[in-house]
Amino acid sequence: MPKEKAHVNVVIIGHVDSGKSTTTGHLLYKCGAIDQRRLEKFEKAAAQMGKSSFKFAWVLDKLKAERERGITIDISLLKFNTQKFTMTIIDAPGHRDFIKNMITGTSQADVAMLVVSAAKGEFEVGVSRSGQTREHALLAYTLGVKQIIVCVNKMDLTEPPYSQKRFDEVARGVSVFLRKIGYDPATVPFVPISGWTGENMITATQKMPWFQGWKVKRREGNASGKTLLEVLDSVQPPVRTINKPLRLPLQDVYKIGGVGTVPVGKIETGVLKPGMILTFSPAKLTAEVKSIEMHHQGLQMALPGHNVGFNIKNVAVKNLRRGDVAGNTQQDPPSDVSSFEAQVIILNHPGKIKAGYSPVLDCHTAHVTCRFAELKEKLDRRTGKKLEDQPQILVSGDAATIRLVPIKPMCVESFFTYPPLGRFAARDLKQTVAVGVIKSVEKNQGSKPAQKAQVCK
Amino acid sequence: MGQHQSSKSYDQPRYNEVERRLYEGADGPATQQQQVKTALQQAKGRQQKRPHRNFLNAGDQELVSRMKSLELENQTLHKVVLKNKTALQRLEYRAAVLEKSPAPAAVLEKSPAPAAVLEKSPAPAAVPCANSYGAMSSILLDVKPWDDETDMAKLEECVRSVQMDGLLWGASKLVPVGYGIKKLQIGCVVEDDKVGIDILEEEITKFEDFVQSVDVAALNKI
Repeated sequence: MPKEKAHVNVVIIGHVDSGKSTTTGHLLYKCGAIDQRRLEKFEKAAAQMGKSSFKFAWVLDKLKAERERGITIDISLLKFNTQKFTMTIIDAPGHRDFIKNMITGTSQADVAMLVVSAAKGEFEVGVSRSGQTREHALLAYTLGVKQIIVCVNKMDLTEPPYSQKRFDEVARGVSVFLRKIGYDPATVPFVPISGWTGENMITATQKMPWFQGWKVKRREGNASGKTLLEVLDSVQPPVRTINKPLRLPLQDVYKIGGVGTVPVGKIETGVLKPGMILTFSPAKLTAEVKSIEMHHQGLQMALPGHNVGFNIKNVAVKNLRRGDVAGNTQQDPPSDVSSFEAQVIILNHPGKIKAGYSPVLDCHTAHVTCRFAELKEKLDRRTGKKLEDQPQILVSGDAATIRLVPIKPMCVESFFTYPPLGRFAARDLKQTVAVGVIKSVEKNQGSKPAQKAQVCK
Repeated sequence: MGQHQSSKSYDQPRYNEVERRLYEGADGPATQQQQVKTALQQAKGRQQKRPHRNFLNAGDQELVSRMKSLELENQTLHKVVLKNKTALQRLEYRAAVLEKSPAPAAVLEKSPAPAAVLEKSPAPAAVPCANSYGAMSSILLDVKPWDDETDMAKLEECVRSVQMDGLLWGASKLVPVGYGIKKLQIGCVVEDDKVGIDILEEEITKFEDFVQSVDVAALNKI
């Protein structure tokens, strides 16, 4: 069996006019999992209409039209292949629920790709002003997306076209902007491209002889190359957290005739094997895994990233629910928390937030109201430096360290030990009012040690 | 696509504006207005000089009537110019649209020349352009049943029965999970300003006899 390619999620951020859709469209078109037959059909139709010169644009539009009507599922997944990876593009929409989805959704970003326009005046508008670009880049950094790629797009529209001067100018501007957020520009590849004409996307361009290639210095080793595709191939795949203790937040719990109770969820860290004794938190149950299945196939070992169902002994369906976390009883079993300390950024709150504010937190699959018990420190968003002790109020745009208390039992972890269980979105008024990462947790000492599950007859 | 969309949405209001002015018989864009004004003034100037030389004694009445007729003529000319300009703009717009996002082939076959299209579709709103009203997102939802016996066809029926302004259901398929359980994976397109994902999830989970939970598998900009 050929070795499965590692999967990488890339979130695309950039101003509306940066041409990010064209750029991602180009990647999908050239390396995408777009059904070859359909592509040929489009291309033929384009040729018949005498639109060969606009073929690419035409096919893109056609695909866009298909997506607009939601005709195919494959297209809405935006997948493509590089030599090393299977990549899924997350084209950041303006939708208000996007940020929450980025935090709790099934596809969390591993790499951010920032697209900026080099066209005259557009870079200045897109990045310099307080726009979504800045917001998204800052969020990506805060939420632990530490790898970023910069595409200097629309090189065909600079004055003069493919101007080195303009590229340098834009790259310098973006470097400053990224450094302010917290990224180290030395680790960031900058690629001049044109998503429209395809320069430097898949193959090295002839039009920018001055471009010596991109270079990055990373702890894991240096990398260099010329095209965007090479950049994508050089990213560090998400660390396989196989060696960590098991964490598996439950999405659903099924009752299957003749089998019994089957919880389903995505393994975030560690491995799951039949015979393992699991602890569920905050359900406070233990149970033995009888068997594991993924896509209707039995598994002897399930790894991080796998969406699995498993059969457990002696637990009734009603004792487990979405939001519970499964872990290995022998190895740092999960526990509910009495309180936790988090660094949050207030995003869209219309008023003032004081201690006692209680929004609903979405963290992994859990959905629990938590009280802002104590506003400990107000921080500078960019540097993380303390601005104020015990602030009285917080408003949109503020960052702060806060102690939160869940009003119902809840299992979360610190971001450093189990990242997917350590980031959350706070929701109120049907909006994401804050996002945060958990710095430390106070495990519930008062809780009794996990009991043997009730026997289900 | 971004470029294309922006040009479209840019043209639309400008076009509407011009059209509105045309129908109201109002003045054209500021620059043109000025040109016409100066032309009018020049004409007036010539008119005023000539009668002074040749018909000095003929009285004011003739002068006034000639002035009036000239002004009338000027106005009609003005209208013609505006009309031509609008027509040209319309033609250019149409050509741009056709070039960038060809309308369905059927429309093209029926209309060999853009001019003919113009006759048939006086308003460019007729151009298929579903997204002219706001940003849209494509969402892929996982809808999970309770057990392996849930009627998935019925579940899908329930999901599709959710109707909202700005929501369009798309393709779907059943994806095996394990132990005979399948989940429904269904795509939809929403207008960002109109449909919140929370509301959507809420509406779907209302069918609690069928639906255990809803997850967002993918959320992307269109």
